[in-house]
Amino acid sequence: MQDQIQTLDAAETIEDEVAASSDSPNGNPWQRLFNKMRHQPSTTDAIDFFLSPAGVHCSTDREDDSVGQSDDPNNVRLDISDSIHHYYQPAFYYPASWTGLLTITSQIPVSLDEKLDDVTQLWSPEEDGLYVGSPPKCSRRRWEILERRLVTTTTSQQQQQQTTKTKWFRSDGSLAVLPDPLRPYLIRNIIPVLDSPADQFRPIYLPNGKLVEGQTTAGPFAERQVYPLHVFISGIEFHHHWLFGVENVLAARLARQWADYSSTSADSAAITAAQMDVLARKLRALYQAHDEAVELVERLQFNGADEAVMAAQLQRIAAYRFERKQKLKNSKNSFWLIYDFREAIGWTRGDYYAASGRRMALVRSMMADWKRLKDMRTSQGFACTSCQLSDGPKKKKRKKNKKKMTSAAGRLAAEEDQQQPPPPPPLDWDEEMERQMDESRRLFREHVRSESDRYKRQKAQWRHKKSTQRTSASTRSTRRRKEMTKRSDSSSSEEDDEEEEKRDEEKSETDDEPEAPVQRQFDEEQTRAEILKRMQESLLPPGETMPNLLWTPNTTESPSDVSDAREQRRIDAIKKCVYQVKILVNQEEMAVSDVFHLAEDFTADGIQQAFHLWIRDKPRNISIQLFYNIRSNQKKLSLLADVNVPILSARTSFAGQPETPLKFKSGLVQQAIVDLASVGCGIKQPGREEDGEMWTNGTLTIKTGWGTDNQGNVMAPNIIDHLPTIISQPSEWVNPKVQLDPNDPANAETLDKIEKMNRLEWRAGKTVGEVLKEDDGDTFCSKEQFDSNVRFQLLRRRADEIKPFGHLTMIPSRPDEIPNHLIHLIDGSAKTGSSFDRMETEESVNPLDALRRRGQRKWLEIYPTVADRLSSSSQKRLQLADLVMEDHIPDISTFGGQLMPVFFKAHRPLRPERKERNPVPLLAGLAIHTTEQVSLRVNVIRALNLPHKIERDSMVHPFVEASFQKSSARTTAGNGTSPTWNQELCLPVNLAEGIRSLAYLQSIRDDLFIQLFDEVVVDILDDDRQRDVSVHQRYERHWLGGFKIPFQVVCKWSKIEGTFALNIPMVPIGYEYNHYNHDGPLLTVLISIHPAVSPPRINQINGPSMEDLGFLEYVNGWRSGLIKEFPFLDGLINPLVVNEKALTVYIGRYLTPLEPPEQLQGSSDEETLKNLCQFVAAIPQEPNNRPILTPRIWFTCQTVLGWLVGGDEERAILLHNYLAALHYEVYVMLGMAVPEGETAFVLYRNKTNQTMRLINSSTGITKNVTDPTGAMQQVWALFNQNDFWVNTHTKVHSSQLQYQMTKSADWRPLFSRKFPNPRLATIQTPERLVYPATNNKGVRQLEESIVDYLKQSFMKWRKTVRTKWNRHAGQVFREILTQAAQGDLTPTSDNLEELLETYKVFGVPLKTAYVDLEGLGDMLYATGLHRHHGYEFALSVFIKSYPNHLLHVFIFGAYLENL
Amino acid sequence: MAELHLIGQIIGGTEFSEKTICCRWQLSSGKNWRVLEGATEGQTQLDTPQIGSVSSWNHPLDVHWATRGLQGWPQIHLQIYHLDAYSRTNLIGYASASIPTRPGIHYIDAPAWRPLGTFTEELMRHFIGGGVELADAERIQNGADRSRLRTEATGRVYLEIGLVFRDFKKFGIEY
Repeated sequence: MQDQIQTLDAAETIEDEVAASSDSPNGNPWQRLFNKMRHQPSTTDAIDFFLSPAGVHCSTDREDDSVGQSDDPNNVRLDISDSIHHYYQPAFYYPASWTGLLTITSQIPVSLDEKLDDVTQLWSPEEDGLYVGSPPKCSRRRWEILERRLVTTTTSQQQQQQTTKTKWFRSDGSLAVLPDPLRPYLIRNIIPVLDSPADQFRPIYLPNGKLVEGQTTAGPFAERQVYPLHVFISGIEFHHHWLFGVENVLAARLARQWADYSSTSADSAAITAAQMDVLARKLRALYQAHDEAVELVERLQFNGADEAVMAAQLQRIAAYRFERKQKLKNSKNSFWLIYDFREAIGWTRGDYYAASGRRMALVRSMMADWKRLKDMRTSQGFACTSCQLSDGPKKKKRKKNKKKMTSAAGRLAAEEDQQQPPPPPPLDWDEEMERQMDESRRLFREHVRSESDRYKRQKAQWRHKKSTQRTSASTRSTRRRKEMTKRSDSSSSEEDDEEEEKRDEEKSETDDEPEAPVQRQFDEEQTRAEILKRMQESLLPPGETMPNLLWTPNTTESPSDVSDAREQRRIDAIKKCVYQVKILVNQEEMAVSDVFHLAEDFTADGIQQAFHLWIRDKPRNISIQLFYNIRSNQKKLSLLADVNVPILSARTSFAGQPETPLKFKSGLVQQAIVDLASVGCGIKQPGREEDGEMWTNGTLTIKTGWGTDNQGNVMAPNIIDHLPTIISQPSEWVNPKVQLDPNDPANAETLDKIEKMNRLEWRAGKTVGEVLKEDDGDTFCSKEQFDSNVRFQLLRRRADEIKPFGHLTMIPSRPDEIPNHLIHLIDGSAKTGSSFDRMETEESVNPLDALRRRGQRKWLEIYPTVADRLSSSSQKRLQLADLVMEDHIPDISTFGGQLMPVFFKAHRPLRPERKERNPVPLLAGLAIHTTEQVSLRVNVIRALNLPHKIERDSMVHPFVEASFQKSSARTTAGNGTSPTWNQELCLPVNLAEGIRSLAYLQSIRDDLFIQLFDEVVVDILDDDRQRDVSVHQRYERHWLGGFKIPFQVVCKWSKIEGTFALNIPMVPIGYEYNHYNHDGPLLTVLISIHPAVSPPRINQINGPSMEDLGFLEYVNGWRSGLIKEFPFLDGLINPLVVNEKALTVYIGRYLTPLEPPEQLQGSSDEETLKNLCQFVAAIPQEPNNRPILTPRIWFTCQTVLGWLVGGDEERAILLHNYLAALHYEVYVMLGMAVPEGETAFVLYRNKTNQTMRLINSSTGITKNVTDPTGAMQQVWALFNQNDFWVNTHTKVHSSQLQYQMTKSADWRPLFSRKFPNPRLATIQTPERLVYPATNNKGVRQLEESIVDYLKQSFMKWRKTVRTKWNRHAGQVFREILTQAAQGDLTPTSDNLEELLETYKVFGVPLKTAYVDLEGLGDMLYATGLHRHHGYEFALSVFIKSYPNHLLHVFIFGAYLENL
Repeated sequence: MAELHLIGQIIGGTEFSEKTICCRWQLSSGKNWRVLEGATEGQTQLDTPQIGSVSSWNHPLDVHWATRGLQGWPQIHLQIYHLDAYSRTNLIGYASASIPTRPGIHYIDAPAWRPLGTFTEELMRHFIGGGVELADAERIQNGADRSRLRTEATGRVYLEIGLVFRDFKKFGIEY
């Protein structure tokens, strides 16, 4: 020892330091200094620590320098006395007195001989390709010092030399070190935070912004962004289907097996080829290791080496050849190692056999299935599937060549073979056999040996026992007693004890002498047979290789023609079956695909539908529902399966996503249909065990992703990343019943997801229970009850202002007090929606009727849509002025302006001033004061020009009856042809129960009828002698004329006053007019509504316009100037109107000359004009229930003629356009007429006498404009193609105006020299105006149906009395009607004369444009004809038809009395 | 199928650093609840108190609910905004309160808070206005997430809430 002690001088130490710093990563002095400061040793320090006896610095030269300093890291102070000192401590002065006590290890490299013992062969595992790992980096010198030290210390203890040498050095002579545990690079462990709450909840900085006004109306928390979600469904494939035939089932099973066979993933249950390979290689390696070990042991035993050497060698083998290192190291006995090998071989072989067996079974079953499939194809003569299973081409000879090779498949297989690595060579059959035989033999030997050992042992025991039995019989009893006491603890009974004793004795008797083991011979044959059997079961026979199977799902061969009828039916059924896919996001249906069919092979690649959904909420789940129907003609589809789509992460854009197949499975149960040769699904079939209970399943191939914006950024809800991805079956893994070990780290992710999902659902307002099922435990009632509560429904509907419920004021507090009609209303509105749906379902009798209904429906449908667009586009933003009403503070100017007129007004006591009634300022929705009854007041003042009776001696006794809503009131009968009544008739407005708001008033659609009758007293006293005593008279009323005013007109104008012409019967039977006046009777009335209501204002339109901005500005400026000048025109004049597309349009754009229909060309201009008036008047009136508050929509002529519906305005424009084409000077007059209300007439200049004439567009009646009885009460404006003039006369009635347009004092034009007429292009499309001829047959049919309908209604009105119809009279009247329709005002007929001789006839002829049957019925009802009793009646109808399906209906209803 | 009428008002806000303030409010209720009548969200007017420190809104609340369970009892959530001299709105507070579960008149103080931003954000807020807001205002509805928020108290909102219960006794609910 002493000779090796050397003193290291300082120079060497420095050298060391340099060396260390040059070759070690820790060698940086700064690094080391830093480590030292942190009290962490570097690798070099650590090694120095272990080298301490040698590494101790005991320099004499630098003692003083190093005192108290720790700069030199190599100066390690070794505290020998305190060996448990682990930490590096800085060196400091080392006392010189220690010098002799220390050994300084020499640096001379240790030779290999010194390191290795004698037996060890020099062998480097690294060279054999085994991984050793790199040792920690340190300078070579230090390694050498360390080695030297180990060698010198170990040599001192000779007895341990061998073991320690092998302990410290490896077989290649290097130090046995563990691989460097340090990573070569820096790592900072970042804990992956999936749900980073900080991110999620980070407030965002918003720049200061203006309050968006839209937000205030939409609600404070509304207005979130919408995100585009794209779903592309590319295809569907069924793996089982209820229409699968047996062949399909086989093919599907083959496909499934092929998937198992060819799968490469390790997690599948199937045994992959790769796994087999691994097992085979491992088994072979074990064999080799075992053989080597055995050989080694034999050799060593032969050489006489001792146990330790053998064990070391074995361990060396084991360490590199065998993975169970740990166990082997522990075992001391070398034989145990071999046993271990054997054991390992045993279980590896077992694994391999099992795997191989399963794979073979798979291949066999595939082959069997394929054979069945082939047999089936050949036997039925056709193939409905096109799959092929074929053998690879490199197959060696096989005994049974089952597979047919198609050329295509072969080529494919060949290609595949080139790509794939060659399969592992199978185990050699013979070698395997021999090896197993050897094992069996050895086992047998060992068994025999152990048997004999046991026998010897037992025999010795027996001998010993016998001797003890004999010597101590008494001790036995004591032993028994001892046992007894011992057993008493376990409370066993005495009997047990006795039995035990007996058994003991018996045993001792039988054990008298242990049986000597039977000397058996190793049964070679039997063992070999057993092994062979096992091998045959699981291994391929020798010389055979695994068939290289190849599966082609779709061969190019087209399937042969199907000859079987059942099969054909099945294919038909497949084709008939329809499918549909619905996409649900958050359980709400978002999109529905088109209906698609399956191909014959149960795939549908042709779906190829992309859905672009806009999602506002973040998707909590996305699912796709698959619907099916067996027959394609049925509408209803039933649910087949629900496919859950994994929720996308926020970064997945649609473009970058691959198509993913999603599996689905249906619980559908369908019986096998023999007729169709289908196997059905979901049914347990007793005969077939493996796939008896097949469920319909398959895969759906989809592609989903978020849309991107222009810049290509993915637009997705940002919180979505933290949502769990719900993969295919959420219920299975969310289900708490799934028993997951919470402590298993493998489950951590899943558990985390479950927890997170629960939390999210809780956050979304759901409890955990609701994920699984709806929990009704804590609620008062079921959801259905809650939803079906009538009271709640009523309240909600009222709050939402749904049509019939919006005006309800009182809703009973108890559901059972709710009136039945309201309940019916709720049910009704829920079922049918609107009344138009009901009209749709009603069978349309006549094509002419159908045309009109369709038109009216369209007409009504367009109003809400236009109103919507207008309101959305021109929604008025509330200004401060709308909300805050500020009192006008009077100043000096207002003082003068307001008070001066009062002071300086002329005092005229004799002239009474009319006091205006203050209209009740009603706002929509506010209730009318309940004490007041809303009523219509009709002041009937006088009548003029009444006809007088033909009978000379009698006088007319006219009276007026006003009727409204089935209530009526009449005046007393006046006398003569110009009676004066001055009576006020009061008609209550029937408000629905409890509803008294203006909105309701505006929804009343009834008409006020004012009818003029002649009261005729008929004396029916039979006996003249009794005249003194009794009076027997009957009052009759004969209709002289009348008119109707819509309630809305009254409501809007609140007062209608004037002298109006009455509609009169065409042929006044029994009466005649004075010859000098043919204008008919006139009636002066004042109609008002009480209490006065302020008319509703239609919102000003300032929506989008067709006109350019300059024009709009000019028009608006012109209008506001005009209104300032003439305030009463406010709201009446607007040259801009709304068209069908909700755009404002200059009214002149509607005007353009239109060629009238050829059929209406008369012989003269006059006749043509008359025909045109009639034609236009025959256009059915627009439905009167259009919304009041929306502005009127002006339709083009094309629309009007197409839809067969139009208002006065449309008719006037159409007529204007016709007249313009006939070169008349023509205007459209806007104003208010009675009874039409706001309307438009046509004014034209007569060509012959240059007088202005006015055409009432709704009736077609032409009058001279100067006629004071004209219907036009107020004229507001005139317009034609040239200009738009506003009436600035002081008068308003049409007869009082001067029609000289150039006079700017009377007529204010829109266009001036400053702003000339821009001549805007018309919006009419004259080229599209076609006039289809009216079908005469249809007209006659309609005539009949009208007669039928009217007669039936007539009889219905006279329920109590029998109605007798006179057919002869009916025919006569029809003749008259025909004549009247031709324009003959005094039609006569010989038959009529005849009739009048026998009957006293009173009739009501009516004429109207045909709209619908109900309208005609109402008209007839209003005449009151049915109120007559005891007579015969006659009814005849004639329809005059015009082109374009326009009809005028003439009705003559009459009653006849025998003279 | 019990019913709950809420008739009350948002009286006003006080102790806010700014004066011209308005309040957006929302009444939220659980799944078992159904609003039969009345608005569940809205905004008050702006008020600048001349005397005193209470900005008076006196905004009426009138909601009628039907419910089939006690879960999801209504809550009121408020956002208080301030209109500055340049007509810009700044959020100055969130507040929320549960609707009491006893009939009668209740006076509720809802303390308001606002999220604090980083130093620079607060500096920006101080000089140029604006400020941090919750990215998702719905989150004030569930308190579970609020634990991670740094906030600052800004003031309080007074509510007067009158409650009328109906049919709760029928289902054994006592109050």
